[in-house]
Amino acid sequence: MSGNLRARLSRIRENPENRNGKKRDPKSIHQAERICFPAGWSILREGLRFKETLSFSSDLDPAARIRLNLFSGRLDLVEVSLGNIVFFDLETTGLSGGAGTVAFLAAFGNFRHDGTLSVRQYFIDDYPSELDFLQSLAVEFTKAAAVVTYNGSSFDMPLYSVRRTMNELGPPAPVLHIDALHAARRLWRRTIGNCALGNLEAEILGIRRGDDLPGSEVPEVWFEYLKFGRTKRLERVFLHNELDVRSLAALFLLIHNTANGSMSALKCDPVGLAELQSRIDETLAEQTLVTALCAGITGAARPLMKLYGKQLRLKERTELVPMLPDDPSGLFSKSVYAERICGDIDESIRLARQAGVNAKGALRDRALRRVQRLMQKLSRLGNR
Amino acid sequence: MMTQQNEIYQSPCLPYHSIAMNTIDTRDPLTDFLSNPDFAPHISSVKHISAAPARFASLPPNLDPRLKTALAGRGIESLYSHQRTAWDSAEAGDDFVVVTPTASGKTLCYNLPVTQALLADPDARALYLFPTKALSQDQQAELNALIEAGSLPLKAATYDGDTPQSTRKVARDSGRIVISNPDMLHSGVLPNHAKWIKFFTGLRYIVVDEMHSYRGVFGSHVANVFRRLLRVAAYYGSTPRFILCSATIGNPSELAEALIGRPVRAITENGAPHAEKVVIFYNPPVVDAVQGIRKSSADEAMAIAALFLASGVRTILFARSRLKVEILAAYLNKRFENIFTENSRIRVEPYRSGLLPNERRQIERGLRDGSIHGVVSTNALELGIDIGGLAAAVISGWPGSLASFWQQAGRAGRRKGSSMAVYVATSSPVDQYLIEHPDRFFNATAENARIDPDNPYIYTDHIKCAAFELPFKKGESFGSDPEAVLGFLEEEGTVRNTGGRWYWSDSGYPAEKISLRSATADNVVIINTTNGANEVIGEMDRPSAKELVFDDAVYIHRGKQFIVLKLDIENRQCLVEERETNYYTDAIVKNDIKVLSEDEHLGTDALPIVVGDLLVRSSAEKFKKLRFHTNENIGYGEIYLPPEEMQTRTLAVLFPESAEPGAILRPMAELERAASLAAFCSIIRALAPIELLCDRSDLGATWRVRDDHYGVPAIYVWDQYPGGTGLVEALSHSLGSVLEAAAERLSACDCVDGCPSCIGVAPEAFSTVKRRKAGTASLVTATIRGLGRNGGEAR
Repeated sequence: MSGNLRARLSRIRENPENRNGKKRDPKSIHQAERICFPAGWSILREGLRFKETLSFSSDLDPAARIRLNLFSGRLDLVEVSLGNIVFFDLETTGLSGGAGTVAFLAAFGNFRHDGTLSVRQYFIDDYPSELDFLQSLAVEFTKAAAVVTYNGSSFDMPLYSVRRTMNELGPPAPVLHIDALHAARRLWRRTIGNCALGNLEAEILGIRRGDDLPGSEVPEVWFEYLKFGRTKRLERVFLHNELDVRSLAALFLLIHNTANGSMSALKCDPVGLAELQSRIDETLAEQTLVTALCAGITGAARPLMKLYGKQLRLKERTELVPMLPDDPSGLFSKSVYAERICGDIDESIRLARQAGVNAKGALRDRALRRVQRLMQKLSRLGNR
Repeated sequence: MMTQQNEIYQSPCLPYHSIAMNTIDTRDPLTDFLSNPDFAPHISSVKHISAAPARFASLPPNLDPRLKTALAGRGIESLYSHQRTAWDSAEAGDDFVVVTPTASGKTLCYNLPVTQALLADPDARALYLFPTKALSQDQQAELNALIEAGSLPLKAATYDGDTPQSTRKVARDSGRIVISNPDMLHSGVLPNHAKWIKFFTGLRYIVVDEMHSYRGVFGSHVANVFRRLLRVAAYYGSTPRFILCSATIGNPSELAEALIGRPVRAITENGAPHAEKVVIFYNPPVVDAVQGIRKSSADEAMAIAALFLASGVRTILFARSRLKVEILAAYLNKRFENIFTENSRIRVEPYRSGLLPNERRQIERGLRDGSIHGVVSTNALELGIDIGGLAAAVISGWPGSLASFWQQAGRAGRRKGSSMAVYVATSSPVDQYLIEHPDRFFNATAENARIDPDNPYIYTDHIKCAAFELPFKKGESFGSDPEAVLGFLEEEGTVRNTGGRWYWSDSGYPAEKISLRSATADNVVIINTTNGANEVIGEMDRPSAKELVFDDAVYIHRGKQFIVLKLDIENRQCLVEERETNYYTDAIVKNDIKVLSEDEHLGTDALPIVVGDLLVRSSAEKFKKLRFHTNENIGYGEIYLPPEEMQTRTLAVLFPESAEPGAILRPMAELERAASLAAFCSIIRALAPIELLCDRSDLGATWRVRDDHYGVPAIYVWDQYPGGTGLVEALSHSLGSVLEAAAERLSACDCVDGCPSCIGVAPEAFSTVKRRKAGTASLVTATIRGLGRNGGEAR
């Protein structure tokens, strides 16, 4: 049956239903405008291009010590100087990963000793240049004391590793990797919600990208370049990639400096901030929470109590109970407080009851048991 | 095969006596049934499979002492003969398939050689594939028991859609035996092979259980998944061996070879013992002698199941369709509802595809722990999911293959002790043919499982996946002609040919869009919107949805009736609302065809047969409303849906006037000719599954009094799966046998002029045609002669 496979394939192709809307005007191929390659790129090897973009920022100290454990609960105290950190981002042919997803553009950013941010980009013209591309990336990685990405722990880094395997290069050399997304989520998930880099850029950094290419269109631009030599939108992909790295560097610094108290970020959730700070300095965390509590943010009470508990400052911890929010667990704690500290059993029952009504699961059971016990206690007291 | 070593006898006199001679207590449910005046007269035969002793072989001398300890720990001192043969084949480095019935200890056929290899080489790995997730879980438990019994330093890990993200990495990195299913291999493992380096580098064995379920569409896909698997393994330098296991089919090594693309040795002698089993053949009474209509098989099967259940026999009732399963379970529960009897505690559940996984697990658990007494199931439960030991299986209608029949019958009495299986025939020609030939159940089967890995749609789909996984090198081998497909994909823009390789060049993840099990990956989700709810209660492939859950259709889910508010094909959803109705719905489907190619000319001058491509456009424009219980037609409705179109493989049988078969048609009046062709078509389609391992619904058929393309009377039989799965090609080889069975059926059928058990009741259009059956019979006989066969008329 296989003998006529070609004939059968061409019949299937003729059937318009099988085109899946992938109709392509064949003329467009011939009319493809072959504008010359965007400016600023040099050729490192056949098929592998390179570009460096510099931008000056005045108030930066590349020698500043950066405490990386701020960004990751898993790290012990690690300090590196800012100038040795590399910010990294990949552009790929797909967002779902897997062996067939290829990275064709990479950007590395780092602060030079004069304070300028250097962004170095590598780009391949076609698939066969991937090996050279990966080798250039490896060189960049060896120069970095730490690599910072945004969502790199689930996307860029595993993808890089897969690409190396596919090119028989073996696993990447170990590198200290920080995914800034995790810290960003602590600070803004509760206040902004969407913590995608583009969104934080607009909301927090106040950057408006004029003519930005949506990330989802990036693969198509490279395919158009591959297949038809179209370069029109390529420039926008390069800029998109460069800006991603710039914003990442800016966001990284903002998070670091907000945590150490030298800057203050917009719309920052103090509870989340305190969580980051407690990794490097509990005094900073305490300050943040106390300030928030004074400003009427009751959500800060519980974490502050935890902090005091950890430091065995039990008296201060207890004093915070009345400031807890009136959510079920807050009400429950207040009920305990009313019984033990104030000796007001009626109030304690009222609070426990209220907690029980609103709570779910185990807390509900605990609250209801508490009500029962208090009622018994009350009637015992009454009988006496 | 189960019966080869066993003496089977048909009782010489009344079936009841033959059983009574076995001195079974009169209060025994079997005896009760065989002597029940309502049922006994319709029992056409009773076959007794006596218990058979085991045939043992010694443990292999080079068996790892730890495995010996593990086996001893489970009370195993020697092997069954087939287990030893399997071991020896593995030692010889062969790919092999073990063909043995349910509960014959087949797991040791692969567990022993695999664990031996893994113990000898700490880097070695194995992959176990089961067609369903439920089976994987059972097997993991089985393996763990062996591992624990011998304190083996091995880890078996299940890796499927239910495996939590957090444990996947551990499974990948340290699972020496990874248990999965073809779907997960296809969409999760192979596309991410770079995360499985250790696994693929060490891959030594691939175990494929329930191989017979990999036939048709699913099998054709899986054969391509195996091509991809071997390609990726080769990339990492490994050449794994296959161990396959199958229920009894006619061509196990042929199917295995088609699946894995290499020669495979078949091991068919079974050394396991088995308990006694009684197989009862029941033909429901004729209620309309003129039209040859029998009492409904489903109703009779339900009555038999009810009798068993009421006498405390845990019973499984197999029905053909999801709809029937729901209806029967509801009837049974209703029947036991009477709170004044003990029976009200009897609980019966429906089990079918389309239930959510947790609903299924709940039912399986209930059957194991005894809280559920009976289950009505589609073939979804025929595979080896552990549901404990049921005492009786009632099978309503031919399940489509002997393999299925024996697996369904095997659900009763998996453990020790005698059990019974009751086959309740329907009026269909296959059932009536089989009930006349009970020996067919016990003799070597002729059923052949077919796949077509080079189906252009399926093949193309997997070349996409393979290109995603590794760029194709020029001259690389993969199926029949990878470069033809790659050229096609290059034009489409999904691959790029550069530097002597084809690279995947699309932003998509191809495996995600390709389902191994259904014609189209785009399933329609069924959403319950009763009282403002918005809850997914099921899924269905798109073509089926058009015929089953159109607007105003009645959809039944776990006994509850729903009415379809809106089938939104574009958004792939179907909104339903709970509503009690006294009817169910059935779509009337019409087909238009167009010949696309004539690839093979077979047959003879008198009876040309052409195999080629066909365009089939099917549309459902109307549906019937049928009253529950009576199936009385109580009205019609319109369906407004675009037609489905597909290109597939067809076999056309032509009747030129110059030769005998065509000459028989010539003198007939137009209407009579049409009626004869229609009847001819219907009986071929109905009886083809006796020879082909397929379902009646896997084939479509139509007839033409004067065909537009060939200019002579013709009938067409086509594969219902786009591009075909080898059925039509197989039919071209076995058409003669199918026709002979048809001739026999026609002469044996005692109806007056055509009935559902032979050529079907005359549709309204043909109601005036007389001698329909005789006309068809002479056409069939002439056709057999036209094929150059002798005989023809029934013996």
